[in-house]
Amino acid sequence: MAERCFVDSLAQISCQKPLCDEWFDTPCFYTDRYVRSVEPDVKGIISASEARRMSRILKRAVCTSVSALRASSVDMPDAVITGTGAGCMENSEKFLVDLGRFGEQCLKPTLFMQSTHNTISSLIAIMMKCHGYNNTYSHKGISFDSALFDAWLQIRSGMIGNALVGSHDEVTPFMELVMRRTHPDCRFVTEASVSAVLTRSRGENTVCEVEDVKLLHKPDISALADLFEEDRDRVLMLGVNGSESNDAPYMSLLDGLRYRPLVLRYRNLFGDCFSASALGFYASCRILERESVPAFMHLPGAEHVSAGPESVTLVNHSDGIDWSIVRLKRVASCGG
Amino acid sequence: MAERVVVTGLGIVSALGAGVDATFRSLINGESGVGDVVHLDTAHDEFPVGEVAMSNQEMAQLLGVGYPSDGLRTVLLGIMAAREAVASAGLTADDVGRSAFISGTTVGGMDNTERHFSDAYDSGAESGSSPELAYNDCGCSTRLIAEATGDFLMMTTTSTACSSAANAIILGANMIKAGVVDIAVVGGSEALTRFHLNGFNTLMILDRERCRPFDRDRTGINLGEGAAYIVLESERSAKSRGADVLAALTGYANSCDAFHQTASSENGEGAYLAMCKAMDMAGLTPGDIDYVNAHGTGTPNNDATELAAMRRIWNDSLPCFSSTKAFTGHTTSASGSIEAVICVLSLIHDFMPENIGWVNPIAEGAVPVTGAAARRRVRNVINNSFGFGGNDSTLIFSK
Amino acid sequence: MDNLILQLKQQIIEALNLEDLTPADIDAEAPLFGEGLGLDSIDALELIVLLEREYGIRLSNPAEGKEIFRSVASIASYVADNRKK
Repeated sequence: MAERCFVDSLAQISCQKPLCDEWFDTPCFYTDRYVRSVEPDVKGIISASEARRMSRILKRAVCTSVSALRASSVDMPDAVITGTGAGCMENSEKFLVDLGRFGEQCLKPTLFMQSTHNTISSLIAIMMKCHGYNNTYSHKGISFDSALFDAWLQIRSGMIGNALVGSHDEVTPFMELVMRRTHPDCRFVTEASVSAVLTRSRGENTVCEVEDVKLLHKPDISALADLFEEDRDRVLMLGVNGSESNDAPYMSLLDGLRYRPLVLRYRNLFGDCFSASALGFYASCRILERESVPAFMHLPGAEHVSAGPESVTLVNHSDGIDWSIVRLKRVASCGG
Repeated sequence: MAERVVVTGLGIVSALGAGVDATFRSLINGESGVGDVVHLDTAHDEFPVGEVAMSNQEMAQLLGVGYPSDGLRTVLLGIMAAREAVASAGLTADDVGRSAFISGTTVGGMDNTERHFSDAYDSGAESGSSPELAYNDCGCSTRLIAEATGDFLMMTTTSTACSSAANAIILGANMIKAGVVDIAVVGGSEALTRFHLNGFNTLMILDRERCRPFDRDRTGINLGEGAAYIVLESERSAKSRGADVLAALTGYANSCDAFHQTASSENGEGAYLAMCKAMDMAGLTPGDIDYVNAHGTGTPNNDATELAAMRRIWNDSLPCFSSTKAFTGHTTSASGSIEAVICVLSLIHDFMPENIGWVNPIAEGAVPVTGAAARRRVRNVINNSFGFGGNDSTLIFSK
Repeated sequence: MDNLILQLKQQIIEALNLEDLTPADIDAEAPLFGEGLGLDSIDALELIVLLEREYGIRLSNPAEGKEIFRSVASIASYVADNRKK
């Protein structure tokens, strides 16, 4: 893979103030278990006639996509690749409720049409008239990571020059039911919408470099330790969230390392959902760009990371079963 | 020079039967699997469907799987096809341990969700309600299919409606070319659900008779279900394993029509771009294509726009083409890989399946393969999969 | 008929999620598709569902909708003649 891959721009909508980085200095902290996103003002991004058919997840996805593109050097991406763990749940749920209420008649086409997972990615392409590669990944907590992997692979292989990559998930009554059953000890469940423009070439506004993206299924924890030997001088950004079942695999990994790494976290700030790792990616990129680490991202009792890490390795797992490892590097130290 | 990507294994289950042999026999004999709905519990029995002729219990017993997979039809179908593919490629446990598994689906566990939804939803979260809603998402299905098949190195799920499986195949090929893996088991699975049967019905594009792709009087789709996986491998790896090479995946492309969520543009821009780019990658000219397995759903819109796109490439010299959706029904997320298996069979056996049910052409000269399966030398085959949202993908298989 | 027209306007606004509009904003005689409100084929399908849900009228062929859905007034006229609820 002869080419390199850089992050050109990013945008986020989450439980923190949207489409900006105020969270870095003045974060919001929540005590509720289920927290919806702070909705941005969509004027100037989505017209009223476009907005009427869009559920909230679609509006957020369009918002972050348009914002990321506007901040980038790319006019028309070669690819639009999206991750979503649960898809457009609000529409799916309404359709299911109607199925129960009306039986198999008098059902609304818009709900069905906008319920398929690829609605997000294709809507973005339709709005931009983008005929490039378009794909959607839906694999639980590594949905974003899968979309990132596809974009990174194609850019590094020279198949495309740039890509709009995003991941989006929402909280609905259905999702609350699911989370209570599957992750009963998860105390902070939120929504996420992140979009990033990746490019082959480095530019004036380049945020950081994406050196490596790996996806693994049930990796042997001791074999993982071997994999992390090369991360000795890197900061590890972990998906820990304070719940035992989620954090235990991360702790096993740390215990297995042959060194004591510097570690950071982001889910205390951004919460959990299938697309949470996208917010970890977002936060890591900003840390590298600003050469600074917010105090509240340190793990309690852990050694503090010096200002301006050279590199960050994001480690994410979904149920301890599917893992992703993403290596990011500060641009100043990229050379060439 | 990038690795040549070849196909070393096939697995399939659909309305045509379970397994590659049953599928081939049905195609050669012109025996459609579309008929009355049997297993899906729906009030809409007026719509013919391409249902797999097995109940969930029958499949679960055959496969030796228990809860929760035994209640998840997408998973059961997927396991059937994935196991056949892995076995047919002769992959050992070690081989699987260094392989990728990429599966396409849109419904995931929805068949199960819709059975339990009202109870679970109405009783609410605190009552300790049924766990069934937890199996709804797409990734859950992929994990269950994969874990019942082998211990893969990595996996993920594509979800682009009717081109999901084709896009799974494309990612697998890209990974092999980049040297990330040598082997990828790729495809998709989709079971019939009330959710999407009714969903398609709200769009008023279902046919009350067996569908008639590319026919002047076509009125819509017959939904189908099934699963298929192919084993993609670098040629070098296939040689060193001594594996039988069934075909080569010489070209592929994914382009977005970017026109509308459910309709395709009049000139079939996305389809046109996908076919052109795939041929470019394969180093083939339009004249090199012997057969096009069209997406051909039978809707007025798709067939007209797909034909328009083909005309832009081939003008009046259209290659042999047919849609096999009157055989299998429209298997949505699995259609890309089900039809990929059909394309590989076409190459192996030098035949082109007929476009059954066709009577009158849409436009002058647009005559698909009719009468009986055409037997002639087939060297290069195009496989089109065009999904909602304009997610258009084309795969090219060659001898 | 005036009541029906007002009711239809309210129902159309809700069914098609025309958030920014009130019934007063919709001219009963103005075209709904193409120009006027600029509705599309998916909206036509939603109107078919509306007719069935609210008035018990079932249209089996989307092509029938073209004439019926020309304007709010034409819908009101059709509903008045064919309603089962």
